[in-house]
Amino acid sequence: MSTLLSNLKKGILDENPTFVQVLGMCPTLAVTTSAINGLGMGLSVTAVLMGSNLVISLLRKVIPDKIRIPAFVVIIATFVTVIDLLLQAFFYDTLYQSLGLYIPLIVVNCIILGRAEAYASKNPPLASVFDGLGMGLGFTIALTVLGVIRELLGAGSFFGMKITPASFQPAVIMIMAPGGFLVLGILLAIFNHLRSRRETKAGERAAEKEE
Amino acid sequence: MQNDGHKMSAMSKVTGLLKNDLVRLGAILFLITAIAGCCLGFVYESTKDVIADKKEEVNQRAYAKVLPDAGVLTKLEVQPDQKAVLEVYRAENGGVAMKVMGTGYGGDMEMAVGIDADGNVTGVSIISHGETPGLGAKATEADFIDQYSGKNAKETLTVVKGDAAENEISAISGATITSRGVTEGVNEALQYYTVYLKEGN
Repeated sequence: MSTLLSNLKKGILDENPTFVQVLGMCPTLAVTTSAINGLGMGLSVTAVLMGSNLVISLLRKVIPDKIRIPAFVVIIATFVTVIDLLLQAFFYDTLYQSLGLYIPLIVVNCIILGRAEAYASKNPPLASVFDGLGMGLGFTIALTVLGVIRELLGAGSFFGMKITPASFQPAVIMIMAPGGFLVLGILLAIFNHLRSRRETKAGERAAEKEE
Repeated sequence: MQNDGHKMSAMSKVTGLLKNDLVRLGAILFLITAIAGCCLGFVYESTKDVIADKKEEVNQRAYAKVLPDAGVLTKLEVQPDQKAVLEVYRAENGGVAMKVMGTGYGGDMEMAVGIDADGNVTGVSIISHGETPGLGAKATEADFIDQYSGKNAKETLTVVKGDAAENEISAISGATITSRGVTEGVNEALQYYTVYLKEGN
């Protein structure tokens, strides 16, 4: 039980794929022009990650080491295509219109292949699913935060609702590529500052105890 | 004889190697891809009709929006060699609704254009686009798209920056390419209307 929970925490905080591992930057920068896009992309990746981690973990003793990469890629691509078709079938006029372009890109999202290689191919199924869920949620949270900030500053809205007063002139640059880099850089700095402060505090406490 | 035996053992070594590695690995990979393929086929088959329905529904909703009180729409054959005009419908009240394509900043955009029996544009609605949110995507908002309503098929529309005159469209600031793309699509629709669809033609 504790492995499962620690896997969740690991994905969201300690090894957050965006803020700590800095993986999957292409979708991170490309889709976070609005909060809903970030959330949709994050959840799609989470679904693929849980599915591919489960199947790869189940097959980890069947797939020979030499062909593991092509096997992983086939499994991941299958899940991505399934998600793509399901989104088209059930969210055609909402999410698919804005995300459709980026969904096939999930295949080459290195977070997914990375988790397959680093975790799912060596660990039991349930733990792997939770690893996928944790990493996916970490990615989703990061993308949503990015999207909220960029949408607010760049378009003056929150999840599509106009909330800033009419006198506020949105800075269009925030929803273009440079804005993505700016916000990501600042968030990375804040996240890592908080993390290092927490670590030094923990270190100090441990030192005090020793004394 | 000795030479032959040597050859034989080399041969069996080769086949043994094939059996051990290449064939075995190939078979496993084939099995994985085959199962994946079957899963994909199943999902594709079961979502195919839903997706087609959804797309059609979105189109029809756009036609209803650009050509109000149209009644029943009858599908017409699109003339060959038309790259930009995708679908044409004749309405009961004499108007037409068309699906046309224009090229925006983020690739192709599809839009519905309604034209009434007198050749006036009744409305334009963008069905799909890949424009930048908050910038080119503003083309879907009423401020921009309503400019087309009331324009006549006799005119060719041009995009200008700032205030627009009679047969001009005022571009979205920062998204001139998108504005041109939409206008290009509407112009195609107007031209097609004048050449093929006008009453008494």
